[in-house]
Formats: sequence, structure tokens, C-alpha cells
Amino acid sequence: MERAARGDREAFDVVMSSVVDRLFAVARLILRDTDRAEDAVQETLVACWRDLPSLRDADRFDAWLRRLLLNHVNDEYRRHRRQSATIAVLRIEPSHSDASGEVVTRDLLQRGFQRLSVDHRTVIVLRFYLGLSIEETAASLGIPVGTAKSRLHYATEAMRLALEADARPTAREVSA
Amino acid sequence: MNAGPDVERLISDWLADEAPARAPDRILVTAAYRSAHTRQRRFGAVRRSVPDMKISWQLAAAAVVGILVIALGAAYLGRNASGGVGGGPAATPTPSPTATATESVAPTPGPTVPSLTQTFTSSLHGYSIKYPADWSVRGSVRSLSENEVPWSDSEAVDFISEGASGVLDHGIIVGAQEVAPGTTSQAFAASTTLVICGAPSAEESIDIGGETGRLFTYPSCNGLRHLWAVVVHGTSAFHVVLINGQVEQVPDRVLFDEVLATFTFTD
Repeated sequence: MERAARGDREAFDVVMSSVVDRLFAVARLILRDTDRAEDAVQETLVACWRDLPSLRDADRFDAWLRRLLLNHVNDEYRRHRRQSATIAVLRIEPSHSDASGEVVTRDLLQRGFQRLSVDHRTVIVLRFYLGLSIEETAASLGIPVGTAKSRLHYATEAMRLALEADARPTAREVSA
Repeated sequence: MNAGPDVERLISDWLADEAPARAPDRILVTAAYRSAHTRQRRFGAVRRSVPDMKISWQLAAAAVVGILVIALGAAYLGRNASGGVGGGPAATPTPSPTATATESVAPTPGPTVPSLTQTFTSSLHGYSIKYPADWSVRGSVRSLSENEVPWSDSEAVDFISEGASGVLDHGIIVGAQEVAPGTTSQAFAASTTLVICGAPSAEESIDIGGETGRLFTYPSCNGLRHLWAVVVHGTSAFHVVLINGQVEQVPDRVLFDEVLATFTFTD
């Protein structure tokens, strides 16, 4: 890390290789779009290279990099908001006719997640994919802990309601 | 439906399944390319320079006062001028449109192409090229390997860049590699330019040192304007690339044409 911060390109290549998969996974989960996730990660890595000398505490690298990524994910989301909405609609596929309960649940989770705002998706990913504490989530987003709690509560509740609403038996199922 | 913890577990499991295991390789390739053309911000250097400036406070204050005096003087003269120089009380109170236009529109000199007064000769690659007086050269120590990307900070390229210390986002990269006899510029270009920058906005034939090469224009390849020329001379294939991350440097095509016109194979 220190060598990369001093301008060592090979050292930075090593740093990039060690973080790119995780960055891409987070960006892809939040943005739900591979191309935009790639763009966000690229921007993040370039910004990381450019600003790495400003990072004084190497122990804070992960949090610092996460913050960079989330900024670029947000930028990417805003830049393509209209197109994202279109793609999101197109990507909602009907459940398979022979779907098992697990497949149905995944389908419902996907639908619920896509309905969330990018802010709410982000807290969900940070908390339930990366396993960050609420304090770490708040720090990554640069928001107060209370706000992070509120967003997480809303997002989780929205997902729960989506599951409940969509899982509710239809009239036909009741009568059958 | 499930209680809170069950929903959280469902979400966690779903996210774990949904997350891609690997990032596409092109992310690293492109990020490496872009970072090679991006200068790191050295905040420490700014801080270190602060103590040295302490002795200049009085000078700086004097400069500020001087600027204020000049500005006030200019404003005063400007007010007199707008009232009509040499005009008496009988002068018309409304300036003519022509006069107003003459006073308010100052000709703005456009960016100019620096003259090429220096010559760089590469004995390693067998070519020479002219470049602007205030630019600098960092010579290569080896040739490019097959399909190696000519990064601006690679030891395998000659990098001729603006300024004495050399900036990474405005300059001309020259790199060469050995190719099989009969390799065309087009085929050679496809092995590198398309991989890095994708489809160009324009592609044209261009004469480089008496050989017919190809010139690809990329208004924004990874955030930098690229004019990417390739040419094959014997069994050597050359990249000659102008990169420009400084948007105000408009006449880069003119500069690049002038530089390419001086390109000469020396072997």
C-alpha cells in the first residue's frame, strides 16, 4: 500500500487485484447492471490511485476505498437513472411455472430489491452482504448512525412487505 | 410471512448468491491503463512548501496592494473612457453600438501550436522526431513485447511530454515492437488499440516517415483524448500516440500532424 501511494505502479496493480472482485460485487449488487458496475469500479480504482497519497492511515484503506466506491456507484446510478428504470422493468421476469418455493422467494427478493432507492439498496448490501455494523455502514456512507439505522429499517421493512404482499395467496389459490 | 431475522437471513443468502464471484478482467486492464495516465495527487508536497513561503508574506501583501491599485486605476480610466475620451459636455450621452462593441470585445488569442524546435532520435527503435521546445523526453530502455500496451510510464516507450518534469496526461508516446514480415498497420492496430479504446470515432490513412499508417481518433478513451497512429516499417511496428487530458489543449490534431510530419525512420 505504501509503495503504491509513493507511485509504484506494480504495487498498485497488486492492490487492485486484491480488491477488484469485492468492489465489483458490491457495485453490481447495488446497480443491478454489469456495465455500470464496471464503470463505477474503474472510476473508483483510478480515483484510488490518484488520491492514495492522501490516505494517511493504511488501516483505514478498506473504509476509504468503500467510500470512494459508493460515491461512484451513486454517480453512476444518477447518470443513468432513467435507463436504469427501463432496464429494471425489463429484467423482471415472470416466475417459472414449476418454480420451487426457493425460486419464488428469490424472485420476490429481486423484485423487492429493485423497487428500493439506491440509498436503501446500499445499506442493505453493506449490512447484509458485507456484514458491516451499523456504525461502519454509516461511516461508509458519510451519514449519521441514526440515519443509517433509519434507512436500514425502512429498507428491510420494504423487503419484508414485498415478500409478504407478493407471497399472499391469490383468490384463485385460496379457492383451489 | 417471516419475522425480521428471517427476512434478514433471506436477504443475506440471496445477496450472497447474486454477487458475482469475479470481476471481468477488462476492469483491471482499463484501470491500469487509466492510472498510468493519471498523476497522483501529492498533498504532502503542498504542505512542505508552506514554511518556505513564510518569508514571502510581506511580498505577497505588497503584491495584493499593487494589484488593487492597478485594478482601481483601470476602473477609473475605464469610467473616463466610457464617457467618451476627449468628449465635451455636448457629446452624445449614448455611445454608438460600434464603439461599445469595440470597447467590450477584447480579442482572445486562441491556443497556439508550439513550434517544434527540438529533435529526439531513438537509436533503439530507429527513428527521429521533432517536438516543442518546452517539452521533455523520457527515453525507453527496451522494445515493447508482443501486444504490450504502450503505457505512458512504461520503460518500453519514449514519452515526450509537456513541461520539464513531464506530465502524464499530455504528451506523445512512441513505442515499437517486432512483428512478422507482412504485418499490416491495420492488423497491428487491432491487437492493441481496439483492446484498449474500442471503436474509434474516426479512422484514416496517414503518412508516417514515408510509410502508410493508420490514425485512430478517440475523443475520450478512458477519460483522455487519444490520437493513436500505428505504422509498420519493415519488421518493426510503431505506436505513436498523442494523449491529452487537458481539454483546453484544443489544437492537438494540428500539433500531432506537425509532429508526425517530422517523423523519420533512421535505419
